[in-house]
Order: sequence, then C-alpha cells, then structure tokens
Amino acid sequence: MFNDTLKYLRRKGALYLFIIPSMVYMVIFKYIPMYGVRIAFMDYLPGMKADRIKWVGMKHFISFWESIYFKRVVFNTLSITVPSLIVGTAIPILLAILFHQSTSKMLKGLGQNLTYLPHFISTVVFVTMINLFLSKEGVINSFLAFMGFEKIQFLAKANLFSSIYVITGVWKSMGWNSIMYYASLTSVNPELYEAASIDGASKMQKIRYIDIPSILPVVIVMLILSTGHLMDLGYERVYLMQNSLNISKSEVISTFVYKRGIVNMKYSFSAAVGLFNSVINLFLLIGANTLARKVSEESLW
Amino acid sequence: MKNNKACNINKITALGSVVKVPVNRTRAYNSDTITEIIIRALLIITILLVGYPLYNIVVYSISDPVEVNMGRVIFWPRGINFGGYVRVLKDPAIIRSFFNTIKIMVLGTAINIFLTVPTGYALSRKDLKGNKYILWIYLFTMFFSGGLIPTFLVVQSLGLMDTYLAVVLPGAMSVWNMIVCRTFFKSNLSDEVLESAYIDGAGEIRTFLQIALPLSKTIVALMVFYYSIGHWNGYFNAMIYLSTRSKYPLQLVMRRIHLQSEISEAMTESGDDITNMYQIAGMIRYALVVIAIIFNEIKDMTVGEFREFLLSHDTTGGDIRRISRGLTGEMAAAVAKLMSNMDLVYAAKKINVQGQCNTVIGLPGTLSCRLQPNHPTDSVEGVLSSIREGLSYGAGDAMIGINPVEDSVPNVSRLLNAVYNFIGEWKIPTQHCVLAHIITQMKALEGGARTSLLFQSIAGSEKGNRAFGINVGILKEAMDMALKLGTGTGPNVMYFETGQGSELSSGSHNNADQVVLEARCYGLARQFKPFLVNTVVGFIGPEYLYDSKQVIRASLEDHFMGKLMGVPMGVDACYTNHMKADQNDIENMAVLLAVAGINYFMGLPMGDDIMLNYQSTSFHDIAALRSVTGLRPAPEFEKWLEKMGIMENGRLTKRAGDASLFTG
Repeated sequence: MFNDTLKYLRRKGALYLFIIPSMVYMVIFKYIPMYGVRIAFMDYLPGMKADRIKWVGMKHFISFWESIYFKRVVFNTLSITVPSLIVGTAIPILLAILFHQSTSKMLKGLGQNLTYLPHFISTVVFVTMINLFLSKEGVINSFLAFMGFEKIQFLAKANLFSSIYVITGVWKSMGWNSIMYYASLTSVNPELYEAASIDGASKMQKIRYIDIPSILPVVIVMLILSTGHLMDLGYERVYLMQNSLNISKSEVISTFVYKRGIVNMKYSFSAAVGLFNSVINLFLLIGANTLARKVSEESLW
Repeated sequence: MKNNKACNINKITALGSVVKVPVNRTRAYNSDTITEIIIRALLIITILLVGYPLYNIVVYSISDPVEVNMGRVIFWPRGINFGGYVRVLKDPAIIRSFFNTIKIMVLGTAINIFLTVPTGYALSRKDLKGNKYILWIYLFTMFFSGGLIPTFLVVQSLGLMDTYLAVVLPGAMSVWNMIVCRTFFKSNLSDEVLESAYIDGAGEIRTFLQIALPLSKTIVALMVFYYSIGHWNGYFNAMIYLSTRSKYPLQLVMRRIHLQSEISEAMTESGDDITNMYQIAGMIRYALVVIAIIFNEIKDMTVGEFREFLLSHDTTGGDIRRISRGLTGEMAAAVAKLMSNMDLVYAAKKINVQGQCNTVIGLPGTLSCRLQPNHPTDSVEGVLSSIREGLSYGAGDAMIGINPVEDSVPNVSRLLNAVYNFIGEWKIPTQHCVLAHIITQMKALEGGARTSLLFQSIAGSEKGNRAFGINVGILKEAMDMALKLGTGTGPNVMYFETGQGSELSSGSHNNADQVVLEARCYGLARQFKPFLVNTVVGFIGPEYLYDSKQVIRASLEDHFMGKLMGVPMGVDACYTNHMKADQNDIENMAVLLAVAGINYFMGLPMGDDIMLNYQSTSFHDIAALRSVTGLRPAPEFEKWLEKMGIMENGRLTKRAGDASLFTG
C-alpha cells in the first residue's frame, strides 16, 4: 500500500507541483480570511494582542440587525439584484435568439460586435458616461426637452437609482452575456431545424420549441449561480454611482461594509455584516440548487 | 396537402428528450415574414441603443466642452478640437498613472497565468489522485468567502499595504477561469498525446511545457486577455490598498478627475493651483469623458447672475448641492450680501444638507433640537434633570450637548459617561457630547470616556483658529479618533460652532469682514464632514451685531451660507442682555429659520441658560415651532417618543412635559 503510493508519487508526483502555487494562494487569500471572520465575534482593534481579545458573541450581528441600516441596505441590495437577475438573464437570451435567427449576416455581425464592446468599458468610464448622459444637459434630457417634456434630474432622484443601475447594467453586459446562450444555440443539431422546416414549422415555433428548450439547461445553471450571489452586489459600480442625494437608496451591503469597515475602521462590525451576507448567499445557493434539482434535471451538484 | 389543423412533429433533441412541435402549415409563410421583420427591427433597435452612446462619447471628446455643457452636441461634433487629447498626453499625472496601470497589468497577469493555467492543467488530468476533492477546495471559495474586511486585514498583516502586490494578489486567480482552462485541457489534450510524451521519457513538467502548452495557445491567450482587461479596468483594490498618489493607476486618477471633482478640494489650498487644476480639468474633461461640469457652469457668472441662479425657479436644491463643492467662502459671502432676508430664506429652503451619526437629522419635514442641559456647577443630577425635562418635551433629537464649567479631563469624562449611561438606559436614538476644548475631549475619549461627537469652536482664519488653540491637523486627528473610538456610528462625527465677529474679537480677521470670515468657517468645517454646525449668532455682543435687526439678518446669512457650502446647519437663536434685543426678537428669528429649513435649534429649560447666562430657544419653543410649521422630530427619535408615550402622530401627548416619566 505504502509502496504503491510511493510509486505513484515518483511517477506522477510532479503533477502536484502544478497546484502548489495556487493552493498557497487559496489558503492565504481565501481560507485564512474565512478563518479571519471570527473577528465578527470580537471587539477587534488592529494590532490587538491575543490576550486582550474580548469575545462578544453575536453583539455586532444584533447591533446591525437593530440598526436602521439593516432594512435599508438589505432592501436596497435586493431592489437592485432581483431585477438585475430577471432582466439581466432574459435580455441576453432574447439577444442570443435574435442573433441566431437573424437571416441578415450584416445585422447579426454588427449587432454582435457592437454589443460586446460595452463589456470592455471600465467601471469608471462607464459611470462617467452614465452621469454624462443622464445629467441635466445630457442627451436624454435634451431629448425630453425637445419632445416638450420636463427635464428629469435622474441622478438626484433616489427612487430612480435601482432602475438606472439595472438598465445601464443590462446595456453594458447583455452582449457579453448572450455569448454563452448563443454558443449553446449554435451547437443545436441543424437537423432539428431541417426536420421542423419540412414539417412546416414557422420561425416562431422553431424558437419556441427548439431554441428555448435547448438553452434551458444553461439558463438554469446560470440562474442557480446568480441566485447564490443575490446578496452580492459588487461595490465597484454602486460606489461610483452614489451621491449624497441618492444615498438613501444606493447604500447597499457591500458599500456599507466598505465604508464602515475600511473607511471608519469598525472592523468587527463590518466583518459581521459581511459574514451575514455570505451566509445568506450560501443558503440561497443551496436553496436554488435544491429547487432546480426538483423541478428539472439540471443542477450544480 | 391542405391541413388547417395543427399537426405535431416528434423529434429527439440533442438533449435526449422528445420535443413536440405543433405546426400550423398554411400560415407558416406569412407569420415567418412577420417574425423576420420583428427580428430585424429588434436588432436595429439594439444596434442603435448600444451604438449611439458609444458614438456620442467619441463626438463629445472632440467637441468644444462649452457646446457639450450646453447640451448642443447631439449627433455631429461641434467646435472640433483635439485639445483634450493633447492635454491628456501632456499631463504628467495621467502619463504616470498610465505606466502604473501597465505595471499592474503585466505583474498581475503574469501571476494570474502562473497560477491559473498549471492548476487547470493538473486538475484536468484523470491520473491526478484525489483531483475531485482538490477541485472542491477551489470551488468552495466561489460560494463562500470571508469578505472584504478579513481579506483586507490579511493584506495588511502581510505588510503589503501601498504596494502593487496588494493590488494584484487578492485576486491572483479566478476559480472560474481556472475551470475554463481545465475544461479546455480536458477536451483538447488527448491521453494518447500525453502518453507518447511519457514513452519518450519526458517528465510531467516537460510534458506540460513542451507538449501541452504549445497545443493550448488559444486558452492561454484568452486568459491573458481576460485578466489584463480586468487589471486595466479595476480601481477598487488600488483605492483600498494604495495610499501614495504617485502609484495610482489610470482608473483611479480618472475617477478622481471625473467623478470627484478633485479640483474643488484643491480650491481651499492656493489660488494658482486652482486655475491650473481647473484648466487641466476643463481641457481633459471630455477626452476622458468627464462629468465635472461644476466650474464650467458657474465660472463666467457675475455674483448677480449667481444670485439669479440660486433664486431661479428652475434651480433645484440638487443643482445647488452639486455646485456647492466648487464654492469658496468668499463666493458664498459675496452672494449672501446681495440677497434680501426673503432671498436668504427662499434659497436656503431649497438646499437640504443632512447629518448622519447614530441618527439622521435634517431630513426634509423634520426640525431637530440640541438639548443643552447646562448646569452652573456641572452637577450630574442637575444636568440629568434638564435632560429629562427636555426629552419629555420632545427635545434632544439632534444631540444632547453640555457646555461644561470646568474644562478638565475627569470632569468632561464624568459628564460624558453620565449622559452616555442615561442614553443607554432609555435607549434614546441620539448622540451626545460635552463642549469642552477638543484636546480635552480627545484625552477623555482616549481615557475610555464614551462620546459620539467631538466639538470645537472654529474661526475663519488661521490666526483665529490658533487663538482657539487648534489647527487643521488637530481637527483631522480628532475626526479620525472619533470615528475609531467614539460611540457615534458616523460617518459624520464632528460638531462645530461658529459666529460672526469671533475673528474680529480676537483681532485675527486680517481686515476681512465678518460675513466672509464666517463663510470661511464653513469651508473649513466641510472638510471634516460635520454632523452639526451651529452659528451662535446672538452670543457675540453689540460690538459686532448691534441689535436684533442685525442678529436676525446675520442668522439668515449664516444659515444660507453654511448650507450653500454644504454643511448641515443649525442656529443658536439667542441674545445676550447687553444687546438691543429681547425674547420677541429671537422668536421672530426662530420662525424665519424654521421656515428656511434649518436642521436644528437649541433647547434650554425656559430658554434661559443658567450657566452661560444668555437667552436662547426653550423646549417649549421647539414644540411650538414644530406645531406651527408642521415639522417633526428626526424619524428614529419620533418613534422613540411614541414608544415613551410623549408623542402621537407628530403631536405631543398629555404626558409631554412630565419629567417623572424617567424616574420610574
């Protein structure tokens, strides 16, 4: 037994060398921080000696739960992620079907190349563009004024924040996200379409009965993954789009953690908020996966 | 064959399930044409929706900024010039940040590839024992993470702060990309190829480098592409981990220029820099897609036009808040001097500046109150009596703040802790502080006393502040300390008091007039994001504000200028007995300010400060003002009042005024 292992290692052991660097990385930057979340249960100050650590149990979780921010940041986060999940999945699917079904090579080529582009715009430039277009003198307001409507202060209206965030987000990522669906559409056996044509199926029917069922597995896997990140709204863009007028609707969990934790150095409290977030995400993921396994054959595990 | 009934096609799909396709044969041709038209129409709409903004940005960048700001560039560029681009290429900060980005990209991508590709390769190999379990070690991190703070602390404890390694290491490998590599290797490297390499005597490492990699150029190229785009576009890690400005990558510099209008911060420093920075910003603005329109909007205005702008029906509070960051105290004072009392009320009413510490004050529709329970001997019991009385009238939502008689650390700590305990006992959603010198408060805070805000009187000149025993460094240190050690959750944790004439009284006015100096106080204050700023307008005495007419005018000026400069304003509507003013005058003043949208007033027992010996607004005044204007306490505080049975639907109940509520 032992000799077998030795023999295996001598022959294939070098393979393990390949994963050592990334393993070290995972341990230091992923697993040690996971262990590090225990500061959420302490009153932690930087540079604190081990013997001065005060364990406070659920104090920080309770104080987050009881603070007025709890409802606000959770609600704000969900008011962005839930519509994003729905619209952000539906539009790319629609787009992929459009590309796939288009008989005009020109429109298809132009459409694909153009819609991929925004994916490569950096967050900073992207938010600047949003501000520019939605400003009082921006294109959209100029258009509204031209049509005889009142100008709207888009960026000053807190209630519009989540709509703006979701719509612009779809604008940026719809082309890129459609690639995966498009790829699975192109891998559909062409005989299916031929057979359908011979039997006289219309284009709409082909979309309904061939295209949609064939991308459904990919859609489900993507939905499960997204559900697992329902509470995870990246700070990069939200943070840049925040201003003092929309903050009541734009403060989300991640920006809240960043501001409280890194800006105000309330490490323990922020770690507690972050941990709360991660745990909810994990449950959502498990829930979505279980549900997916029940209603269809597709699931992550 | 004519068949109007739908018939079914049965077909086995690639997925192995049976698909039933109902078909309506006769109408197929027609509906196909319609479908085709719809598809093309939708594609054209998509192309326009995505293409136009992209096109427009290019047009903006080569148009005259003035034309862009006027909203006149819709489709064709106007006033074509490439000045923006020239400026970008000449700006040393941008060039430097560009090279910084290149460094981060190269370093980061190299690390990414070194970690991702070999891992994906090894895990794609069936003969790697335990590879399923190893894979799960990676996968798990996609679903659960320690979060931002613990990661930050790890980076910090590794001593990586302010290095490029800190920017690239936390995201050194994307598990997702690694899986993509693994899948690629799995489906593109056949076992035979690898076997033949072994037979030729190559070891694992040689096989990888000489056989596997050359066959997988596509995936490596794709990874390089993905990762480098990520590094090019990222700013957040750089923002958190880098502190030296010369190390900033391009995105961070752009963020500062476009989105933060850094220029306004520079305005407080020196005159030459302002014009310089302004020119740079003005020129590079649209080449980099810039939004800082602030200066262009107001730079050509005369003070009179500025007043018109502020008072215009079309100018919203949001518009004013936006430009306020670009205003100096001098500009605010100049326009205030051209405005009548009504103008000052009207313009101030538009501007809403909130403060957020444990609670939020200054929300539209609210009027808050600082409870001022001063006592001539700093008796804790005396102070608490006043607090109980004030709370029972609904006062104290802005804060509970005591002016101490004795400015010493033990005394201040004693008062702070007594109030802190009282607030804790009754779970009052408010903040508190003792208005001693800031150094005393800082020492108390360091010694473990509990305070949510730090207070200081400030002046509008350096000399004046020196007379107060402070400078910018001390205030900065105080703010950091309050955020770290204080009980206030922030982000606003400072409380400043000002008042026209204080610089003159200490001979530190440098021949500037008191309105300008007052406005400059607000310029100083806003750097420290205060929770409250309070002008003690009637305290200064008749040498500076002679009578009630002047005091009322000054209070309206201060309130307006403060808000214009972007600080949350309150006013101590008060008078001293050697001034030509009486009770009616401060009541007039308070009504005007309440209408002008003030954040808070003082609340004293019977309006009489028995420690400082002056007259201000009383608990009853606050209740009366709220009642006549329909304004309410801060929401969290109102909830608490309701819980205590003091207030119902925004009206005080019969129990109000009964301090014995708090003795039970």
